[in-house]
Amino acid sequence: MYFTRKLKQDFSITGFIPAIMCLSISTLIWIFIGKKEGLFSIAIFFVLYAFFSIWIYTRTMNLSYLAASVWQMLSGSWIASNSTFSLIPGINAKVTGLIFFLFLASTVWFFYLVFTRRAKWKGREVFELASMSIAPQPDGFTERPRPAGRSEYTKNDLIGFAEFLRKHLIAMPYFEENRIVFVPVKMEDEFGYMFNPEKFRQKRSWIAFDFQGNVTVNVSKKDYIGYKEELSFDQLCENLGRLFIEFMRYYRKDEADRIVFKLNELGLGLTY
Amino acid sequence: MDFKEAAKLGSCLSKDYAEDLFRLLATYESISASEAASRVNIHIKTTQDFLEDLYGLGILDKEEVYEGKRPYFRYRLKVKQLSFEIDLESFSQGEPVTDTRLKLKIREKKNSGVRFTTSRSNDYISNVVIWIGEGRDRTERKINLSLPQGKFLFHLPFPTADFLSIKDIMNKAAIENANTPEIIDIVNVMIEFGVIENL
Repeated sequence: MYFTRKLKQDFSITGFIPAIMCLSISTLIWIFIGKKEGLFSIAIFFVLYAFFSIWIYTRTMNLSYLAASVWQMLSGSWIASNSTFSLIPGINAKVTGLIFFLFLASTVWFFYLVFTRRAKWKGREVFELASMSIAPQPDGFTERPRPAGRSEYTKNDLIGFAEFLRKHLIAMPYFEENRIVFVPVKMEDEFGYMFNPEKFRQKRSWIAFDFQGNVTVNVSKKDYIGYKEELSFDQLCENLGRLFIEFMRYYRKDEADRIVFKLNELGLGLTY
Repeated sequence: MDFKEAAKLGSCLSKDYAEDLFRLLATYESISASEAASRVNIHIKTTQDFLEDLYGLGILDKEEVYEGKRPYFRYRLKVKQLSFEIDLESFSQGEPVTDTRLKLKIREKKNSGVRFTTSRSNDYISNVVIWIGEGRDRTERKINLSLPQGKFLFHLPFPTADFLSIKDIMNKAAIENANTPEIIDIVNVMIEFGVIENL
């Protein structure tokens, strides 16, 4: 799908920094201590990453993080058990072969999920979609939330909708006493959300569905200046609200896959 | 009695020595400031001001008398009871709902630089913080809002949105007509502080 991108390009590499650091430490260990220790440290980092991924999986229930965890665990295990590297002596070759086979299978599974965008945090897609038909109009920003209208749903619908958006990394739900607030998370922002969700939401845009059917939208300054131009703020809030009301409609009609399709159709990169 | 006079009388009545001075005024046919001051044991200037205030309010009568070279005033009570009424209706800006003010089209002003704080339930504005002045002289003015006012401002059109009439915004926010005066009041304040602009 062709469209003019309204968001600024994001060149941040926040997500890669821990991996780069781990690789650097392992390289240094390899150089200064030895090959065996260097490889062993890589195996340990893989296992640590696996625990981190499973932690994210428990928070989001997104399958790609489970796949990542399995892949990382098997990667670490394979490196540690491989007789070529002989890090852990005395392991049966059949066991190593089985681990390698499972490693290959998990690689296919994991990268399938990555390339089908199931591992992608879709905040950018949400903001691109919301801004698609909006013309530039300066000086429109205000920090007030905006009532975006009403939608028909039950409390159970809303809870199910929240689980769906969380599972597909579209928007992270915050459950409150009388409403659920959805905060779209962009790629590279996910660590901020994972480590401190409450602090994360403070300066982010949100869409709230209360249990009476009212929808309220707030676009934060941080997200607003993320656009290349100053867009009509009123329309942006309205569109964002309408977008989520439409998502809710799809969800209630058992057409939730259309939500994911609509976002993936934009064809944004896998890593930003 | 208008509000200023009532405030003046209230101020007189609230003085510690007011009861004693009124007792003297009720007891004496007439009394001078120095006589009253010496009896109550307060400064003559304080007594003089008090009696002059009551004279100004029409509660006392005064007469200039001459004993020797220096003239002075003697005060006497003109009334046997004190009562006052203030018409609070006159403070109300209430006018019929069909008031042309309700047709005034408004929206939030661009770059108004104010901070809106939403309520915990996030469906109305609980207060507005306005910064007045520049540099070191900049001061913060916080206006706490009533619930109808908060709901009204919550539905106020954004700076780039189309203007809406006050009546339309009230309808959107489901505000009752009985709250019209306080809505008009907050709109006037917000226009004054440059938070709202009108057509």
